[in-house]
Amino acid sequence: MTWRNPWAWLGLATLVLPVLVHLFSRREPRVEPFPSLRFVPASPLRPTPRTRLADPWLLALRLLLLATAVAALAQPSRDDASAARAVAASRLARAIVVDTSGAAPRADADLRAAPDRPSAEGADRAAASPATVTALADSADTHVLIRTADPAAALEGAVAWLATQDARRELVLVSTFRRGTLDSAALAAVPAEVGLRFVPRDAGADTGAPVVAWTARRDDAVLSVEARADSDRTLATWRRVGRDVGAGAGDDPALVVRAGAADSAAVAAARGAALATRPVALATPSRAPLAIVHDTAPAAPARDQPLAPWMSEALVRLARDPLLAERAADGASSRLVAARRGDTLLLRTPVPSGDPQLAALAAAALAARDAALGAAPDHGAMEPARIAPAQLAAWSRPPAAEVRPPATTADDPLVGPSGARWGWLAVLALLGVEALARRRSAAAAR
Amino acid sequence: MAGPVTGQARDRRPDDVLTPEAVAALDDLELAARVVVEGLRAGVQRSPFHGVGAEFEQHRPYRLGDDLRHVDWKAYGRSDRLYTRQFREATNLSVMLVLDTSASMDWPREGVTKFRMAVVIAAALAWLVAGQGNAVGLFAMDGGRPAYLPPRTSRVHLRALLARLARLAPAGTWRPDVAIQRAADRLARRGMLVVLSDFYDAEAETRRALRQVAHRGHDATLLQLLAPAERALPFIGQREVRDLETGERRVVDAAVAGTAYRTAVDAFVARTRHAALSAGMDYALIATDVPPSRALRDWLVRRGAGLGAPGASAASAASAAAAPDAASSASPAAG
Repeated sequence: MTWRNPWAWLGLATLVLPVLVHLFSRREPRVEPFPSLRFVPASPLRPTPRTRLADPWLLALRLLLLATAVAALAQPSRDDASAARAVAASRLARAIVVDTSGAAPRADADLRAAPDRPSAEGADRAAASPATVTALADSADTHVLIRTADPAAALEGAVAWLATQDARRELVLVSTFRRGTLDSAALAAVPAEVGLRFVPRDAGADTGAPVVAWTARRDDAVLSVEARADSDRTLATWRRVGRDVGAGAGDDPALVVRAGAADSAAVAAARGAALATRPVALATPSRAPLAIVHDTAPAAPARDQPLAPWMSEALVRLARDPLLAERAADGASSRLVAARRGDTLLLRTPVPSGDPQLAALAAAALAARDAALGAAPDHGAMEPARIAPAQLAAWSRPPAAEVRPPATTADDPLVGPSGARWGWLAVLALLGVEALARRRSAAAAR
Repeated sequence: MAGPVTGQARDRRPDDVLTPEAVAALDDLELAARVVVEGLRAGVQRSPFHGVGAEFEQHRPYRLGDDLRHVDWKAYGRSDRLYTRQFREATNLSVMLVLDTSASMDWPREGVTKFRMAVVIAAALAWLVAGQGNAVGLFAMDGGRPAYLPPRTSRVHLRALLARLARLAPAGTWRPDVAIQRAADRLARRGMLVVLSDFYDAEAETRRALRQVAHRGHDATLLQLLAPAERALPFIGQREVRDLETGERRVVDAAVAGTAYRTAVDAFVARTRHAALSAGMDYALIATDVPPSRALRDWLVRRGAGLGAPGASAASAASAAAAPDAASSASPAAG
């Protein structure tokens, strides 16, 4: 037997009250009528022990009544823990959160009709079609489907619903998993016993573009960018190539070039900052190399740089004008500087290297350049950065095999009623018996 | 030897229909009396009341139809002539029932009270006496005023007596000596006095009154009623007790006073019996846990056998009163 409200047992402390009442209650002395006192000698009074309990049977009845009431308050539950847990462990409750936010209409089309497509990354990369969602729902004993444009915010509701289920619990997220959809902080709120599963939605056609690399040189700094196109994105990795940009060899996902000088401290700081950034997805570069020069000492981080149309217009002008500078109103900072050195298009911007805006900016610059050059764009639309499959795999976990009983109220229909009602019936019966006993005791005292 | 009439359940006879509990429950006093008298008939072969008070008057020549029991066969043997004895008022006995209606008779609270038992026995005696053509009367105190019915023989009078008995209620105190005196005064000629009481009150005065009654030639019987519970203190531990008649309260420890009380009560009962028997009266101690018919039967059988019955020799009366003469009525109770 288990007790749903074990704190109620503290009520046993009230048992001391009837004991005190019976111990210290003083009743009028009982006067016995007698036919004649002729032969009844008076006796010296013996001291009556004050600690004698009056009406011990009535006291016992009252103690039993109180204890029964306390037990009823504690809500006994005939709970066969092992069998119940085994049954619960054989069941699966699944909360399916479907991310309805999408950058492209294609995402909606995927949800409507696209079949599953295997990819090099395995089954997890298959498109989340309605059939998939249906299959996810049908394969669980109970499920809830949450459609939301903000999956991170919907996690709380999904977790709360899972907490009420007496089964193994799993949270499934169906999304494109763009950068910003989820992070570790949002997933930390999901209890450890709740399984996590991520089902990516197909967001685009496979361009089939190969890995492209290009290199930009400027003075003593060499920039190398390697872009690899994938079925649904393009991954670009920045590399520093050069002998004078600080110690350390190998790939460096960021590049900091300061025109005209090699400041080891600034380079190191920029490198550190760049290392903290995410890979930037770029469209497949065209024929001409592209170098992006980061301003290492921006007056202010231009996080909210608009991308277009002035950028595009500027780049169009760049096609005609080899040098273009857009200076801010205060004259102390520049918003965009573009220059063309030969076949190299230089873009100078305070936007950090890992910022997705930079990818969009570079794509816009390339598109504008291609348009200015009269070349057909050979790169796909810029796609936002996505959460890496490896990261999703790291976050994934199966639901815990041991099921913790859900926190429910006393008469949750999913759990069943407690035995409290029988306890209260017993209390009612004992109240009646106590009333009779009290009446009899009073009559006997008269 | 007169002695207490007590009974055990195993000694009950099949005809003891009216148990003490039935006595307490039966409202119809006439019915109760009839049942008790029916129960008496099984054991009482000859009414002890028959012939008592009849006096031989004269002989007369036998006439056809005379009761052969009254023929004087001795005279026939001497004279060869049949003579019938004539008795003056041969079946006209006057019996006065004297009932104690003091508050002490209204005890115990559970079961049959002494008063209820006395009423039923009085009713049964009245029925028995009247059934044999004798006169029966009643004397009691009702609310401080005497309730008196002169001895009569009619059926109507009997019913009136039973109705009067049923209306009596125990209360207050009484003076048994006064009641006995008055009842005896109201017997026009020598008759029978049956006193039903616990005799707690005025012990010495009661003895004097009884002696005077005996001097007058009346046949007196003392039926002392006591509940078994009052032969010993009926509680344990310390208790405050209240006298039903005087209202006096006294704290008693049963463990300390129980033995002294029991001894005092036994001595009181013995004194009462001795006082009655030494005055030539009949005595019986009736317990309230005995069926009334059994109690009466035992008394009447003993009376009919001449043991302790009136008219017995002084020697037999003295031998019956074998209890020591405890003349002192001083109670062991502290003042």
